[in-house]
Amino acid sequence: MITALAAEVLLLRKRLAPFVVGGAWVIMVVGFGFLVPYIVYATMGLSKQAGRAELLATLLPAAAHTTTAGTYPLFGGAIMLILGVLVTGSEYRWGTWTARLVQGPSRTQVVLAKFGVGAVTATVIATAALAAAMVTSGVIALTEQRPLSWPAASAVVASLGVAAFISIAWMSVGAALGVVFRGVGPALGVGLLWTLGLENAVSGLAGAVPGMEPVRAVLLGPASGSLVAALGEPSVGKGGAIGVGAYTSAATACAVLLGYAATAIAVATVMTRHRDIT
Amino acid sequence: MDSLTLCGAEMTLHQETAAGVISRENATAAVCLENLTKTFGTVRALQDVTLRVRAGQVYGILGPNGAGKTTLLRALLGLVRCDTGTVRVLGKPPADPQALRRTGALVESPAFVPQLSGRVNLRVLARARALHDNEVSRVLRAVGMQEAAGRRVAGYSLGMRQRLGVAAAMLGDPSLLILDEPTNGLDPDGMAWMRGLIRELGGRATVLLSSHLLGEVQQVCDRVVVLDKGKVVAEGSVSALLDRAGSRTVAVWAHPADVAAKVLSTRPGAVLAGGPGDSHWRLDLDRDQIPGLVKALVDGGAEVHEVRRERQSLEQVFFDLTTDRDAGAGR
Repeated sequence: MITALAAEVLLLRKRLAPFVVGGAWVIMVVGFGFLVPYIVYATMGLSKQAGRAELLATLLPAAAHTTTAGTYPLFGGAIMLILGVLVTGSEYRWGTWTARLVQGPSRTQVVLAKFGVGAVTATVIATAALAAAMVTSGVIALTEQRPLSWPAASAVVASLGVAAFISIAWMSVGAALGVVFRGVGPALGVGLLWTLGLENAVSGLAGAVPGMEPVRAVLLGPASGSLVAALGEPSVGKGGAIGVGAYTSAATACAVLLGYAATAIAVATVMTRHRDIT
Repeated sequence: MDSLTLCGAEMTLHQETAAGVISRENATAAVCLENLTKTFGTVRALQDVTLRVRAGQVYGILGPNGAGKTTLLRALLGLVRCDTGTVRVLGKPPADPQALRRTGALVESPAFVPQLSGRVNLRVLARARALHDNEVSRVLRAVGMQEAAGRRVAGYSLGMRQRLGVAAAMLGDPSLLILDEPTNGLDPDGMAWMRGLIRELGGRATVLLSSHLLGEVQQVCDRVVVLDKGKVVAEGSVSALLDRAGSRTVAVWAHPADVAAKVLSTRPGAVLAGGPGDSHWRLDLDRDQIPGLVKALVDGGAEVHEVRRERQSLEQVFFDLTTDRDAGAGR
């Protein structure tokens, strides 16, 4: 298993994809989480003082960790799904599974190594995004001549844990889709249609049709949103980010995300073990 | 034990040979297959394939497209699971981690991560085998790719990828090398280099070589198996295969030409090998019919200068074995 992990670490470290995906996500967090709202804040009329103050509060260091976590339920998840697809699906695109599976480590070990290293990569990206967000919020505070009051370390760790947990769950689903569809294109298409299209449609319907609420509770996006809401981030109706809301309890949300990750790993492992590599 | 086994009348001998000897010679066999069958949907890729490759042999796998060569190699590596039959590679089941670490493989076209350099691609594979980067440098030197190793694989020619694929197969100095069409994309110099490399590797490892280039196989292999439509149609040493397959073709030189022609033209299947007036004829005869032919020529007034059994090339043998035998029987 160690040799499989070592190979996978080297491969992902040398590939461009994790850097492109990670870089894109850091830019998105900084851009859409802080810079765009700051521009909105700066251009808001003085008549809307209360709204301006509320918006600025979300951009200052004290709230930077929850604001960052709030970006995950929708866009962060989708980005991590793309990362997962690239981790496994690219091997089919290049035709490199044959070479990977005849070096000694078993198929199970090779697949688990991919999920493991993918999870570490997702966590590193989440950490980088949080760090960039903190720096950006510090710059905003200095610009607005506000005190640099940082959040408690435990709160930062909790936010990072939630972000990493959500990222790993979505990345796992993407990696499983890469295996199921044996490639990048179809897996990305199905994954994004499912998470951004189908899940949002169900979430929207659940607002109007109470009978749909139990279905919404077990979806990847709403579960992620519930977990972020548990951190204290306001829901979308109260000025929070899109996808954030207390649709279910934090415990249920954790169970749902864990279920998705476990199912994704199981499906990918079983399929890789039993399929002929031709 | 006869070194040649042909299907048909001698198939029983082949099966008895395999069944009886596999257990006895397992210790020295690098690869043992017994009654291997594999189907993909309705297509039977391998059918009751039984063969044994002794350690240290350079073993050729021949067959037309779709004969089952690559499926056979994939079965050895555990990449495809067979419906029935048993496979033992270096004494272990296919895909056994210990056996895989002692096996190097290049199956079909070599595939690498195109954005990464040749060296990094090999380093990834070496990591999976717990090998040091020095080993990567060693195999790159062995295939003459040290200078290009730092370039992205996307910019490699087919021949360079092929060399890199062979380098990947050589990682860890394996006891068994499985090379599927290793000369694909190589220029004549590259092919000669590959021939030399296979001979060199054959001195210290068992080499399983699948190729369409029969001349290559004839030059480097100790034994060959010929597959057709998933079945073994012949198996044996290259020389035995050539001797056996070419045994009925006899070349005759007799003078004067018109006298020889009078005698030989009455023989079924006799053809004038040279131009009109030439005295060189070819015809199919069993060994015991040759004295009768010579006597007939002498009795007819001809001088017999030479009678020689012709040795076919492996290519001719291959075509004889793999052309549609059902159609042939109907002719």
